[in-house]
Amino acid sequence: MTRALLIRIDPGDGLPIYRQIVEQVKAAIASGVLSEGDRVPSHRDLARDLVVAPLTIARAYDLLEREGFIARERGKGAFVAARAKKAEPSATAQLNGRASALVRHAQALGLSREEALRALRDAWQEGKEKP
Amino acid sequence: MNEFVVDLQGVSRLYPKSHNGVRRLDLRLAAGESYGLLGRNGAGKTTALRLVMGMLRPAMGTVRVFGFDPFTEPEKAKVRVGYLAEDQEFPTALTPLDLFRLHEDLYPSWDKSFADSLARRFSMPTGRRLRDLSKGQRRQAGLVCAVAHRPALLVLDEPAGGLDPVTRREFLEEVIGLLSDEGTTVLFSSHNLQEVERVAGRIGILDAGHLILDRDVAELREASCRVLVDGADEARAAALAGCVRTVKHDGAVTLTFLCAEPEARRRVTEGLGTAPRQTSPLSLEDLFVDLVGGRQ
Repeated sequence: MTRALLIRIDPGDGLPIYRQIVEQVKAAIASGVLSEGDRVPSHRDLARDLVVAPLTIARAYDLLEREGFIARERGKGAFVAARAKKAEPSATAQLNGRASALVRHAQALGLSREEALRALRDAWQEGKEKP
Repeated sequence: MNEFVVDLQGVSRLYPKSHNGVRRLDLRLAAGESYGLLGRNGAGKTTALRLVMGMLRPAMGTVRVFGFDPFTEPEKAKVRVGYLAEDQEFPTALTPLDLFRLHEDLYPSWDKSFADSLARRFSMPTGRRLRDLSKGQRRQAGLVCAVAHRPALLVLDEPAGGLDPVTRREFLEEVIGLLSDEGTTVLFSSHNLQEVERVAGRIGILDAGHLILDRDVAELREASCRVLVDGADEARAAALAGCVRTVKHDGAVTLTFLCAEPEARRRVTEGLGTAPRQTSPLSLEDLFVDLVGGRQ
């Protein structure tokens, strides 16, 4: 069965649309919304659902496949890959940008290092407790 | 045989009084591409589309659609093209059904059940005269006429202009459906940059008749940024490679770059001797305004 997905597209966002899709599919995998072996919508169906050019979806899926998050089988569609949840070296690198944004945000709010780390720990705990 | 669906080379066509039109326009679309043409009013978008439709003769250059000259051999390309003009007007005494029948006679490939399903989807009162329909409903009737013969090329001039958000979305969904399911090549003009980013794979920006930019949308988004530099000299900043616009503030300059953020950062640091204080991505709309704004 194909697993439907909620993806929010914001053309005004800092990321191009295909990147927004990539990030949200990765987040869905990381949070367990999508699990290993789940079939993701075909790129045509997703193009219709999101009202986005099919080439843009194809580009997002290509990148997800290259980075090992999904695997495509001819005639069967695309699935969440088995090794998708394992962090690769590039995954840590990807987090760095967000981490420094978080640090800047915390500093702007006048938080101390300990307070920021506590917020991160709490968020981590909350994320883990989700089914 | 020409491999491009649309192939314009060195095409000029100007209107004598306004001097609006296009100048030495090169534009090529491969099959299945979706191309959004942007520009301010009078920048030449409608002229470009009318040239593709064979409604205007180029003063210079060549226009080919499916390898044919649409002006001298309109019948060869036209059956494979669907067109919706910016201010498409049909005789208002006709009903949408009358219109569909007329188009059915014109196009051998007219798909009646597709036309009917679109009309149902738009909840169109097909038996009522056009004069008694809303602007949006007339626009939708025009779209059905443009697509129901399942054209290989769809040319849309400001297709969703003046439509409410729901109708606009339904309209876009149909265009996306054609792109997905039929591999239709789409060439459209629009002032709605968000819509352009959703639908177009590639965009062209016309400015006073010149195509000043012709790029893949995602690539463009990743290869453009804004940079804020303290205490920089505006003239020196403006001279940096890839810098398309500068704005002077109190003690600082904002630069818009047509290159990726790390590259812009490097150029600023090396060229001005100061590292940027801040950098930020740009929306397509910001970029458009920075490229063609401030000039008329």
